[in-house]
Amino acid sequence: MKEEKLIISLHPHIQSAESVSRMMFITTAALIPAVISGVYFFGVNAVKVIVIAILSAVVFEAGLQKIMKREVTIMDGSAVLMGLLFALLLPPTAPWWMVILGVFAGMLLGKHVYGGLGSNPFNPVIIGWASLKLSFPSYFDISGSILGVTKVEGISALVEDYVYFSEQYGIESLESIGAKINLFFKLLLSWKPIFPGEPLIGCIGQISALAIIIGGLFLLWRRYITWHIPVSFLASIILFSILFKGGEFLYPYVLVQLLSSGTLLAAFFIATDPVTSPMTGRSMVILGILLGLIVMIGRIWGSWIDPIWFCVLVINAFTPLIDLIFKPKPFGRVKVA
Amino acid sequence: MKTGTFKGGVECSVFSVNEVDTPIEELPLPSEVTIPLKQHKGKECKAAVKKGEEVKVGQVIGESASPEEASIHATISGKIIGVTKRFPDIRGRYVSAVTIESDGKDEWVAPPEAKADYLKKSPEELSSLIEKAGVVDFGIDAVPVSAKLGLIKDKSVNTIIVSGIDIEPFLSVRKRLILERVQDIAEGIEVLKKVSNVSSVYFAIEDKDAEIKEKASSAISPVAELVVLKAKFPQAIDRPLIKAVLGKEVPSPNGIPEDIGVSVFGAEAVLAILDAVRVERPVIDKVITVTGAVSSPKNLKVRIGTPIKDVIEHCGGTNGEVAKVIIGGPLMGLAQYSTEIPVSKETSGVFVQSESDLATISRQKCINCGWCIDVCPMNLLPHVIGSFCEVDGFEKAEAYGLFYCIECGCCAYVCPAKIPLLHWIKYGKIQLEKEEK
Repeated sequence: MKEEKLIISLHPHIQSAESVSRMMFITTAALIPAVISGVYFFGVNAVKVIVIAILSAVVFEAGLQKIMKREVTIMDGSAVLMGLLFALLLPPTAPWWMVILGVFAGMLLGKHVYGGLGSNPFNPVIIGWASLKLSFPSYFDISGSILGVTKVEGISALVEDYVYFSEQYGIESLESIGAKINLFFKLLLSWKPIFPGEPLIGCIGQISALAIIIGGLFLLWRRYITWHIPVSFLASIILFSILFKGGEFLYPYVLVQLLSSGTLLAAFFIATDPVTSPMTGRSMVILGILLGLIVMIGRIWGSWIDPIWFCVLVINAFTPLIDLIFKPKPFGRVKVA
Repeated sequence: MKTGTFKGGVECSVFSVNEVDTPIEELPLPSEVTIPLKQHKGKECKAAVKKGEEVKVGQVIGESASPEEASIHATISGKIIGVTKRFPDIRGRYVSAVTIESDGKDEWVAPPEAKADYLKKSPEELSSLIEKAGVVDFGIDAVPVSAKLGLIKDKSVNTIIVSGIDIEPFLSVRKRLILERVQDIAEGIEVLKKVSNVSSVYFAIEDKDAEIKEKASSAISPVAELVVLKAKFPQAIDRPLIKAVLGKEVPSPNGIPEDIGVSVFGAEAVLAILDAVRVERPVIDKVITVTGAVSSPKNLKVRIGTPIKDVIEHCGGTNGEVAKVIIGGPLMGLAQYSTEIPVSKETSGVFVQSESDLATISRQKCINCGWCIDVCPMNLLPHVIGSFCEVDGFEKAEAYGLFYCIECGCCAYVCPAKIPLLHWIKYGKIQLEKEEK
């Protein structure tokens, strides 16, 4: 038989055009509305934090990979995404050294000590955030990782203060359906300063719920995330805030739980991180419900102002266990008697 | 009209398929054919001819010893110029093969002619005609129809599914056969019903083509229930197909469809059955789709034993540098190391791949995106099994259902990290099988 230079390999001989870097860049693109809203409300400070975070993430990724003698993969977009997500969790007033330190902690302790992208048990963004929160609590408390938390006693007190809503959003009473819908849309668009005349405070990426929802829906449409975690997590937040709270101010309370703080960012971008979330839809639903539960417990009875990112870390630790318990049953398995 | 689908799989709209919709064309007689004596799952047939002998079309050259083997016939008339024991088949294993040099006359032992009243024959007579004709049913393996009929009897099968869905979305053999010979398919189903003594027959097609639906519903409906399935890959494999049509799961990993009283036949097998009893014509040719990097992709009727280089030549040759020549389609086909490999009963297509379209692998680690789980028709965790096999943790891989894998390759197709999941899975299977021995 004549010799021909043909390649032999196992099927499949073709591949889909998807790749990890495409996944990362599309997710980064989905964050653009949140970036725009952050820049719109916080101006040049937000731009500064975002640029520093992204640049340092790329530099640290390349540097750490060089030191650890691994292939440098800054072009896969995961460093850019991590830097951007990290910046969105910070207040615009964060000083430059803190941003760099946080990115470094996230990169080293969250990602590269475990072996890089794909091996990390915890979300590196949250590792970075948590190390800053624990090391420099005062920088966070100035602006609060949630609206106005320094002025009122924790997140739940905010909504019981009718002055806030009536003065800032022009809603006198929440009796009528129209007023409820009105409040919903106003909160969806953005938050307002706690007191008139004071500067707006909050985190860059969390100021406009609508911007995050647009990005999340885009990801859902492109099928880079599935509905399981966002839906189960948000439903669980609603359910447990009703169960735990109830009472007169329930409606604005539930709205604040859903639309403020990192709830939406967690639902669409942080908890859905493929590496640290469970594998199957069923386990993802379980994770979403559990996350909602501990977030609500933490918010109502915890001592942190907003515990959501610590809750994400806790739930990341449970991911392997959830995966193990809810292993799918193979097709056509026969029970051996 | 029934509809249905199965869990997992890749939707056909995802693939960039240039559908080959040319009518089936007959390939001119080749000057030489090499016919492997094993073109089915099971044992090899015994050579019935010697070097130097003159043979005619339809003459038995490989005798089957039992219904588990499908006898092999000469596909052109001429002189036998070689009988070898070491000829590589499409899987790269050595089999015996007979080489015939054409005399260009195309003389038949018994020219096919319509036999009147063939339907009045007894089921036994009909099935012996089918056995004599060497009919195989090709899904993933080529199984002699006579063996399948035996199983139907032994396992008291009560349902037959005839699949009008191509093995892969890139091939259009069954689609063309439905468009061109739908009446014959209906008649073939009648014969199949008679020989198998099974009355409940489903005919499965996909929902992507309105013309097919129309043709099939008018012609097939009187003899079989039409089932329109969502266009997905791998619908041609028995397990997903049965799940989609009947909602039943074949016991896995070791069960066969007949265990739950179902038997699956491809549309071309039904036509071959009809030819075997109506005109008493043995299987001497195969309809294949030639596509990929060839100048003019075509659907061809090819004499068995024709080297695939002749087939590619007839399609205007290849475009650019050829990297792979695949028998079957690009999703589940077998890459060949030579274009002198002949077309056999196991060939449903030839796919030529140029260098730029090659699938690659990367050093990217699994990012746990779960896409392989979503597409796995067997509801496995391919990335978990794959990574266990990668580090030689075969027992663990087995505990996660390694042997349930039907090797459709969907996981490796969708993987964004380009991990060769199926390679690892196959490696694990081979290692475990070795250990057992």
